[in-house]
Parts: sequence; C-alpha cells; structure tokens
Amino acid sequence: MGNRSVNASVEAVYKQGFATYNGSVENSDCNDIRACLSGDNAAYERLILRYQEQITRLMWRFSRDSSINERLVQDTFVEAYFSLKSYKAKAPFLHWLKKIATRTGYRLWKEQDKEKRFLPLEDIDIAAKETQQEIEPEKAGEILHALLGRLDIADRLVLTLMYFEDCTIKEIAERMGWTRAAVKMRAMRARKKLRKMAEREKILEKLEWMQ
Amino acid sequence: MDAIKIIERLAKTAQKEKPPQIDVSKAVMFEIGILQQETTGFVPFEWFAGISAVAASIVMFLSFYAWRYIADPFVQLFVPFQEILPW
Repeated sequence: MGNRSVNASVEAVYKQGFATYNGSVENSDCNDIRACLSGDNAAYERLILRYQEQITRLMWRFSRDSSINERLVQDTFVEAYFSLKSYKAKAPFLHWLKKIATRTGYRLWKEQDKEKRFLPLEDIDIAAKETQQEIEPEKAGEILHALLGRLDIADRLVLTLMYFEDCTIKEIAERMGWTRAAVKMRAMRARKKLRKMAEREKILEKLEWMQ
Repeated sequence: MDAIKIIERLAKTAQKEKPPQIDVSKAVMFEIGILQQETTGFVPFEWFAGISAVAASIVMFLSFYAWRYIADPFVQLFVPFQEILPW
C-alpha cells in the first residue's frame, strides 16, 4: 500500500481543518498509521493507548458491564487493525475508530435483542427516593441506559448517540451508513416512544425533584 | 415539565460520567498476533485451492470435447437397424 499517499492524505485532512490541529497528536497519528502499515506493531499499540479512553467511553454507552465493555473496546481495535488499509484519511482517525466502535456496539445489541433482555428500571425508584438536588452522573447514566434499552435497537442507537455523545443527525447517518432523512425520522419516532414509555413508567413523577 | 426535558437533563448529567479506566493494548496486540498466525496458516490452503481450480478447469476443458462424442444409449439401440430398410 502506498504509505506516502496515506501520509499525504492524512496531513491534507488536518490542514483542510476537518479536525482541530494541535501540531502533535495528529502528526503522531499520521506517523503511527504509516509505521503500522509498514508492519510496526508498536505503532499500533501507541494508537491504542492514545484512543482507548475515548473508545471505552463510547462503548460504555453500549454496555455498562465492565467485562463486556472491555471486550467491545478490544474488538474495535482488532477490527480497526485489520481494516487499517481501508482508512482513507477523509476524517480524523478517531472519527474512523468511532464508526467501527459504534457498529461493534450495535452488533452486540442485535445479539442481545434476540434474547430480549431488558434492563431493570429499579434505579429510577432509587433515584426517586433521593432528596438531593443533583443526581450523580453514574446514576443518570444507568437510568438513561435502562430506559433506552427498552426501545428498538435502531431507535436506541439514534437516541444513545444523540443524548450521550451529542452527535448530530448528519454524524449518526455517516457513522451508520444510513440516510439523514431516515435518522431524522427515527429520532422523532424514538422520542415519541420514549415519551410514552416515560409516562407509562411514571418517570416524571419519580424524578420530579429534578424539575 | 415534559418527560423528554427530564430525560435530556439526565443525559446532560450522564455525559459527565467517568467510565472505568481500562488498558486493552496488550490484549489487543496479543489477539492480533494470534489472528495473524491463523491467517498465515491459510496460505497453503489458498495454494491448494488454486491448484485444485487449475486441475478442475483442465478436466472441464477435456470433458467439453468429450461431450461431443457422447451418444444417447437409447439411440445406440437402434443404430444397427438404421441400415435395414423397412421396405
């Protein structure tokens, strides 16, 4: 593979302003990708160390089980390694990694969906009893994860990326290879379903102290 | 307040959550190593498949010509009678 062309295109991406250029990290990416394609596995280890935190954070939205989360992160990096030749440097390396990670997480949900596993909503009852003014981020994450887990997996994915990752419709569409119109429609329907579900579970009453 | 507003507020709070710190670098490199070894094991298999394909295409080439000389055994039954004129 033409390492020089990969190098040039990676640099071109950052110069065009697709990512905030801070002068070191992206150049390191560029060098490490080039080295990795030449067979230097230590370079790939450096890439893992650089991005595993962000990927772990993303995968935490797909599974809050530590062992599954670790497995998902691992699978993402293994898949990325074997697909590295297909990285066209049209976007920063992290965006490309997140695309693989999102699809890996979505696959997990598909497998879990066959087993029809639902997460309990007991956390909401616990949160309801709390008298403090602010809910802990971990608790909020658990409640939201359990709530979204009751939606269809595609709806769940759209809202997970929107709520947890602050992704736009365009970003979700690009990540999943769906059309923007489809994502927009799905987001609208998913919100409606979520509202109905929240009413059914009386979430508004349980968490009214948050208002 | 709307339920969705509450959920959005939950999401804003959940974004501050710190996931567990993990280091998968060693495990990933180990898995990559194993998968690469398995991939190299496939090379003789690919060679074997290639040779088989070449052999199969030679047999097909020959059988295509042989096909022209294959006669229907039912027709062959009546071949001796072709020379005997019924009238």
